[in-house]
Amino acid sequence: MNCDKVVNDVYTFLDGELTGVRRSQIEWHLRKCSPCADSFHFEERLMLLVKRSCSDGDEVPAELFDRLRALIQQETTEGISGE
Amino acid sequence: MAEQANFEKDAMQFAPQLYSAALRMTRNPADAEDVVQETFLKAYRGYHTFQEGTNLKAWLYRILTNTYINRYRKKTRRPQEVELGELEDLYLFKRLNESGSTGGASRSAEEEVLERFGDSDIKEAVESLPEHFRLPVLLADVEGFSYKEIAEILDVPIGTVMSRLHRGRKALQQRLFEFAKEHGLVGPKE
Repeated sequence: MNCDKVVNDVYTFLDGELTGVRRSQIEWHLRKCSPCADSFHFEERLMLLVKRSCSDGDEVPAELFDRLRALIQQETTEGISGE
Repeated sequence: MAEQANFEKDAMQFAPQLYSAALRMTRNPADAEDVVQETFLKAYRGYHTFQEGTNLKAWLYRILTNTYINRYRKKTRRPQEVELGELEDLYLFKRLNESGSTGGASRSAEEEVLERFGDSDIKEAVESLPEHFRLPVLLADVEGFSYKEIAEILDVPIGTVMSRLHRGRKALQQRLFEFAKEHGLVGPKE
């Protein structure tokens, strides 16, 4: 299997969406080919960086939970009084 | 079928995540909170249709995404998105490799550049993506949904998810490379 074909599958591979023989073939190639292994590692690091950057550090408004609870409460009450 | 009385207990744990996702979608805190509130209200009203034992997080994200799209798609529709053309695979890796800040002697030279990006740079780059790229990238990279789940959330075929996600990631890399150049994170080869 040549490098271009391996690289072509980088995302399906890293996303865990590639299974069976194809996955084994790529794993085998990555063990032997360090340029491909480096590039896969880079892509993986970048994906993790995106995950980390976009999950952490957003200030969730302190009152968000209260407002959501109040909304549900209100909805429940209206439901009972049979609007 | 799920009990509506359990909704708060079951769903509230996802509120912070949904809020962050809404922030990436709407790019502004007030709109993000509106979207989350509407999402919770719709989810509460429809909770009796949720199949217990299936993926509650995916179910909530589907409502969140639809709420966002219905509310903002018209408003934010831009003149026909300029097609990026096909960006090559490993876009950023190759660009960084060419500009070889440390001459390529170190295995992690390209990865070191990644470490120099701040969280806010990455967020900005993600938020700058056009919506048809931004949503799949968020759902896959940040929320960890599978292609099949994303297809269900966005109501598009899996092939479309793959194509948008992969192109979206490359577009993101292009923005990051622009940013790296502007901020001197990469230098010309010595």
